[in-house]
Amino acid sequence: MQNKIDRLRALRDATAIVGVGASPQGNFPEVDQYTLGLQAFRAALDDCGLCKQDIDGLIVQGPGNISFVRMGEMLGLDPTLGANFSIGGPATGVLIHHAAMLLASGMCNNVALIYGNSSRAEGRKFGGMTVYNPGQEYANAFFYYGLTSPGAASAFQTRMHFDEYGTTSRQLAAVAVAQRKHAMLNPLAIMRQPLGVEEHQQSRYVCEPLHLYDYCLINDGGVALIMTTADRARDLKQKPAYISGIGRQDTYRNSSMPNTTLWRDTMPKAAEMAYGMAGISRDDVDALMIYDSFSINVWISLENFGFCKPGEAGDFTQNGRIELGGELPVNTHGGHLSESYMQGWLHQVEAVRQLRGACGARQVEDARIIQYICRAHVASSIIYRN
Amino acid sequence: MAKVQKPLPIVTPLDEPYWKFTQRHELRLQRCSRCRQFRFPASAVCPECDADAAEWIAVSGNGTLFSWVVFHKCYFPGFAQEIPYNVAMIRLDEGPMFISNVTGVDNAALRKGMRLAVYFEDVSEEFTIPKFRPGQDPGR
Ligand SMILES: [Zn+2]
Repeated sequence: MQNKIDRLRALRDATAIVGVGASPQGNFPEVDQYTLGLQAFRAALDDCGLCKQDIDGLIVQGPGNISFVRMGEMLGLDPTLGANFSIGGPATGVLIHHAAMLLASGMCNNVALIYGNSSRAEGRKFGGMTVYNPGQEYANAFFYYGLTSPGAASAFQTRMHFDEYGTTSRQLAAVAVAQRKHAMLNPLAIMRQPLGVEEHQQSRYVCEPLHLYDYCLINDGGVALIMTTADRARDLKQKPAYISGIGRQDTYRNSSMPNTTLWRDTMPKAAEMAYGMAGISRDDVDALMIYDSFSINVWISLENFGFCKPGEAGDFTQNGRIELGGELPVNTHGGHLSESYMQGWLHQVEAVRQLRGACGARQVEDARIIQYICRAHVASSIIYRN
Repeated sequence: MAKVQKPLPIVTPLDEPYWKFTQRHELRLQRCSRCRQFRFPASAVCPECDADAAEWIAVSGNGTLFSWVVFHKCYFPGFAQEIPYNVAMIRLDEGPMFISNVTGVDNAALRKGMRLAVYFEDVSEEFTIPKFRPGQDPGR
């Protein structure tokens, strides 16, 4: 690991996100995922001051059929390269890593990452016969037992956490409640009515022990990021959000089964890589953006990245610690649970805007370092600094 | 009205023997001929020792409940009548982790560590699916 970290340090602060954009988030049956992605892309170009012709790397992602070739055709672009990594939401951090590497290697000068999601319009349920996620082989291996959906995999992990550490659904509610408070300060957020612990507890189960409010939303929207090299970034309109550290660690063993290890033996390696490359410690992090398809992700991420010990996240997330104004604000935009389900892409937008000091009522005071964490069999992290 | 069928297994060359045995109401899992580790689901190579050779070994069908979830949302029309239904992870006495449904017990009465035993449900001409219900303590 140390020799990798030594070499990765050459990439520390070498690239940056310079432009961010988002379409409206919600229910848009009249448009498709390309249209939503393109709306976001225009906003991101406008944000940084680059023009379409400057883009020579085109990364395109979404939960449905969305292609970088078709997107390039619509844009009238022949970039040096296009790319996608079709593993669902965990791909988001990975694609930003890859963009940073393309830029640092000299392969590309300006990379656009465009995300388009028409899940609500298309009636996508993230479960049932239509789902096939490579890398989540259990998702179709046991249909005949009625086992399906990423939510079920997280529900198994939730019960394991409850059983092993004596944590409770009531404690887990603190994650959803904190993020709803944040969403109420975010004009882009879909869910802006107050949510309390009792309402969480009384909400219906989707896959028990996970309640409705432990689940992400399913909605339509687009997000875009523009990334470039540090030297180019300094000449653009906005204060750059530098990519200071990246971390990645996969888990393939026993991946046909719902995960039983909570990724304890693998995920910490992604943390070690990211902190080692950035040359910072956890204490330097001003806020966390955690991939929250389900509330339990936040616990697993906090524990496996060392913010608390395994089993302690139940206590750790109580009493406002992860809320704005608390010791370690998490998902200050409201996340997937309350803002919008853009599979981690709006988490990056929020990180960038926090580092610009552009978050208004939900601004983390003097935010200098923001970290993104995605737990999964493909775990990733990004440390951003301004 | 015709009954809406539940999804059937998707058979691959690797696990075809598994389904042949379940049709005969036998639970057999693929085991490495060299290091004797079970491979479930079946695999072309042993992840532990790299050996290719394997045999299909009969297992007892007894195990303990490791974890479970209960589906309250219907993702498959064939399961609509069974909502809420459980899906369980069962640690077989021989070691491998197994996925199945546990029947014959209320979902609310499921407990980690409870003893379970396999039985076989013939769901079509071609397929028999192993399921579990409460079993006896070992040694009784
Ligand atoms: Zn072996």
